[in-house]
Amino acid sequence: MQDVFDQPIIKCNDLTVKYGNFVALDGFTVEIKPGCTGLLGPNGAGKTTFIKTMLGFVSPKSGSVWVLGHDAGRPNREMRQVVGLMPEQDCHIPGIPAVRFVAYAGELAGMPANEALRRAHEVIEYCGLGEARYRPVETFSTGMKQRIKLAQALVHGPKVLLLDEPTNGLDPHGREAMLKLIRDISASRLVHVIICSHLLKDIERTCDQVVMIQRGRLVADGLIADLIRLDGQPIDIELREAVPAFNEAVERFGGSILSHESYHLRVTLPVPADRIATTLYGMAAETGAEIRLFAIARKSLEDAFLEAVH
Amino acid sequence: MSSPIADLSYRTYTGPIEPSRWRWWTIARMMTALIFHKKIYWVATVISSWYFLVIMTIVFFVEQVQVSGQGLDMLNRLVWKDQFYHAFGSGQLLFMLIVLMAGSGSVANDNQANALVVYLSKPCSRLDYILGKLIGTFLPIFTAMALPATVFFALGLGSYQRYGFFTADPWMFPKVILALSIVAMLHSTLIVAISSLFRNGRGAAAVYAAIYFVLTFFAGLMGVLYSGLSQNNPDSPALGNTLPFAYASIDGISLAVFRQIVGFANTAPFGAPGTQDLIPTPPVWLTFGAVALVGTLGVLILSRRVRAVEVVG
Repeated sequence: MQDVFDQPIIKCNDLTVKYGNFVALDGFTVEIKPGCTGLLGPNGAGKTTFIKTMLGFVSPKSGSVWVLGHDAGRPNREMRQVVGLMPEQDCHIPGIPAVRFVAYAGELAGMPANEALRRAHEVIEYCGLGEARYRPVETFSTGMKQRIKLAQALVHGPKVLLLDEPTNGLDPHGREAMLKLIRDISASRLVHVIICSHLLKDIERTCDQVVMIQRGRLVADGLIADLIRLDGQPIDIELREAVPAFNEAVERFGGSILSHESYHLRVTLPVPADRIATTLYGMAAETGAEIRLFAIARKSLEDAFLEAVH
Repeated sequence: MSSPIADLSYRTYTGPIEPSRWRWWTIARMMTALIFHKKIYWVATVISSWYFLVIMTIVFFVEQVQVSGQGLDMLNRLVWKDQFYHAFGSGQLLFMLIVLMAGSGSVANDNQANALVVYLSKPCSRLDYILGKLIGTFLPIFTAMALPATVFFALGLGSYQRYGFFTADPWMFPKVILALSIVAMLHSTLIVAISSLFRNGRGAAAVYAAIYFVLTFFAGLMGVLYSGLSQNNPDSPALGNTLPFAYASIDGISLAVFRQIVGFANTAPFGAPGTQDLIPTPPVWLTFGAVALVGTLGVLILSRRVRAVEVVG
């Protein structure tokens, strides 16, 4: 029996969206699994259009999108009940303090007024805006505006959280704090998070899986761990100093040196993963080399993206 | 030990969710609450009721004179429904200011702050949004118009019944309320529609005010033309053609609606002797046709303009 947690939360089939003659999404087909997913692509790739289509803001020319079993192609309150959106641009209800804005967002999602206010306080505290809750949103800094957007998206307890460029305009400290919040939300396993970003580092640090888009087309998708894995399970080794005998020992053992730069080596060894450490330390003892660190070699997400694109 | 006492991890909401059919009321309630919290709104409402205050003062002093034996016929001459008409007519400019206050930023401010994305990403439809904005603008306008009339009616019911206040037309008050509600609806549809065309409330307010004053000036000119024609050549066929234009303003349509529903006996303001030389009421179909046309136009503009589009500021 297939585990319910393996069922896709979003199914998108041959989706085409056009703005006039411009094709924003071109036969886009993808299935997004539960967990934290990054929508990765350069500016104008179609990430925001995909989010807008999921919410029914944009009507597709052809194809379909299903979010948690709800057809996004038709006006669908049930679907929006389980989705929370943090838009890319600043957004707020003018003239009201932050806590009232978030409570109002909750009421718009159908929460009774007293519950919405209670929950607004809770979510604002969670997002780190406790001190500023009675200030009008217009007076907030960029970082605070990002947090209040997250709070309004979370207030009604969505099952899918769509974050469109959540670290836009944030300084390194603010960015770090926002990514920490997103990781925490995702780690709760109560919400499936979809992060739309062109910043590979943000995606790499927060997401389990990634969907890569370029020019409205899917170029790659899957677990980040799979996408950045290198064929042949190479190992990166850092020695205290270069020891030619160690290199010879690797080759003698049947391994091969893929790259070699001073005391950094990338090698492959014909041993199972659980015996790599024993083998390496054995060779080091034999040749008098000192291993500072070793790790399974991986590509960066950027390399994986560039590979997928070209 | 540095761990927090409270559990600060993320928790989801599992409480009750209300049915979606009242979502528009949430929007209307918020808008109304924001307007009702403005002192200037209540000041404008009180000032707009100046005619009622003056007529109540006049009636009070006239009653004192009558009690002292020097009877005046003024009180028996008063046509009460005409007092409501005069009060409504004299408060129009302030009603316009209240309309600007209540509605100019209704959608424009949301456009500026990208709030539409917030509304429409929630289980709240475009229809809910439009209806909520219309009702949320209508209620403060209607309250500003109807509250002084209601107070005056309550006072009249308690104090002026012996002068035929209620007996002359028992349906007078419901008719006044109906007329005011139609006028408030007309104003709210127009201002919300204009608001949806802009990205800030001031722009919408300026355009609404411009339309209001230009049309009032034009209708005033046509009114003068009509009066001149009717005095010099009462049988002229041009009179019939000129009449609709004398009411071709927001104020004109409002007064015509009031006259059609409540009626108007052409008495002068403040119970002064004689009649008011006025332009006759336009035909019913024209009056309500104009209301329907403005309303339909407003709703059409709104349905085209209200979209979940993010504005890059």
